Amino acid sequence: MKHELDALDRVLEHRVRLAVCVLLTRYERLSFSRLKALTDETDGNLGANLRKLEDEGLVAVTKEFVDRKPVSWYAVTPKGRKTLKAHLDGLGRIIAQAGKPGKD
Amino acid sequence: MTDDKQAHDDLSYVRSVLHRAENTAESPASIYFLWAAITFFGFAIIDVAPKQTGFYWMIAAPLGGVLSAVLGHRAGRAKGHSSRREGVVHAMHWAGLMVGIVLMVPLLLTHVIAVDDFPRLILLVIALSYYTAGVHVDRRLIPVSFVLVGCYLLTVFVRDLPQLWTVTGAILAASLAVAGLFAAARVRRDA
Repeated sequence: MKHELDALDRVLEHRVRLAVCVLLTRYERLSFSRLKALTDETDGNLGANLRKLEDEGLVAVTKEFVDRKPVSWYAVTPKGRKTLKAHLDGLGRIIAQAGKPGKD
Repeated sequence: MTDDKQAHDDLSYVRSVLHRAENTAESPASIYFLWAAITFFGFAIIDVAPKQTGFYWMIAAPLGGVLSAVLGHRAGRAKGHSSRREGVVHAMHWAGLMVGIVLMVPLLLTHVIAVDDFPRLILLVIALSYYTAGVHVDRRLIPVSFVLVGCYLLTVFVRDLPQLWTVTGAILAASLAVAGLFAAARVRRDA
């Protein structure tokens, strides 16, 4: 189990950050308001988690005007994609280990 | 909480978020209304000016496709959702339908299919295409595909109905408009 835990990324251990990375991998570019609606988080909580992902280089933000309103678009970076894959593989192994006979 | 329980809970949360995203990633109402209009005139023209039908669809189908792409892109951006991959999936699906219909024209030209039966065959192909789009792209298209099948059967078994193709076009346009109204209601509810 120790080996599987080592494969997990500390930043993605927070489920909101994990969900954001999965969404951005699936949908390429999502706005802050769309991410907020999908994760059902408050502005402050989502903003803090996105900033953390940005600081770690896992997501990138671009700002544009859509219908004369400022919109922040988020996209996963190549590093983010690679980190997410390793993290999800690690989670999968943990769940697989838990399902094996002999586990409490 | 144990690690495996935590991992399981986190993945359940991610799955629920993805499910929400998939359930709200639908085509905008404007596309349904656009195709309701194109479809109504496209079928009614068979009764009114049958010789112009091919010409009408040669212009209306690709134009409708381009307009749909523009409307879909604009609606996606307004919603905060921009995915080139999804756009490509939509474009490939509907372009495939158009190419399929174009490839059926030789059957008409070589008299394998009677002129009168050609729109019936097209209806069936469109029904199948809407059904697969409903399964893979947007669930709201599934009821429309059932209406298309109903219209196909109507045109096959009630051939003598006056203004058969106008009635067919009106039924299809109504089903697309209803799907569009549901889409608009959903957008209002999510806003």
